[in-house]
Amino acid sequence: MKNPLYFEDVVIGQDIPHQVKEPLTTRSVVKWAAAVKDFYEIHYDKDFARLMGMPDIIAHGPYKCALLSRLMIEWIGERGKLHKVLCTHKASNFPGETLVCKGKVKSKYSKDGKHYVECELWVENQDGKVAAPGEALVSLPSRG
Amino acid sequence: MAEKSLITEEMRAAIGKPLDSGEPFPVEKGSIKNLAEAMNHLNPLYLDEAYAKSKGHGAVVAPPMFSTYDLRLDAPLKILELPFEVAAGLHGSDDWEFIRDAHAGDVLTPKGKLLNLVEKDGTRGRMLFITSEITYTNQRGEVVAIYRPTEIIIAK
Repeated sequence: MKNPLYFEDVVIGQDIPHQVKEPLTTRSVVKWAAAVKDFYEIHYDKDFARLMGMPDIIAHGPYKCALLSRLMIEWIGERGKLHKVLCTHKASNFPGETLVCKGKVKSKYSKDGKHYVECELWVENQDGKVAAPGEALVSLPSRG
Repeated sequence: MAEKSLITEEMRAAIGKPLDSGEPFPVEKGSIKNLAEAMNHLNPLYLDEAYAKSKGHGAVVAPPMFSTYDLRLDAPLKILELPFEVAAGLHGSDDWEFIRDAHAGDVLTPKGKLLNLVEKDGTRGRMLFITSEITYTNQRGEVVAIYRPTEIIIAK
């Protein structure tokens, strides 16, 4: 098991030393559709997606947000807590692309005995094109 | 702007009104596993009951976004009468607040309301941003998560 991440270990401005990379395939998109029961045709019917002006089926926005939550949970470990995550969907992503989730530490503060870290996060594709910029708030244990 | 607003007075009056955001649903072990596998997050807290119990949980933990199960993103369109023709609908943004863990065996109840309506001009034309707020409560009446998704409707 990894050593727990402590509040004192986090430096404002640092890159999050962890990334999530997921290649998108029709199969991975359909797996998410089935897992959350989101059967909007744009996520598995290529003809329908083309009628909507897309070149192919598209990944679900909430899937990208879920990958950002995974990035944070994997980074902070079991002693950390994820309180908030949000993202805006700026670009669609298609099978053949790879989603890459990254982040930076924006600020940290202690309040009411809890130790919070605010992060800037985003999902980009394999070419670095940002698809979903967002933010997260976590709390971490303190050595103090 | 001389153009007519995309938001009628009736639509504005619907802000704050309840939405049909779905029925109570059980948090099942198999559904947790499906979601964990769909996001390739094979966290033992989600998948291994003995491990979850060794960490003080009564059962396996649901990934934070489990509440999104069977989500009705189109619920606002059931109570809004749009005064324009729709060219396309897009999922605009996600905003989650996680209050406490959900576990296998829990039952979650979604309760939605229309939070806000905003209109904007974009590269694809005039757009209506519809934000709803869904509060998920467990069988003990405790809030588990609050979700604020925004849908974008592009006018023809």
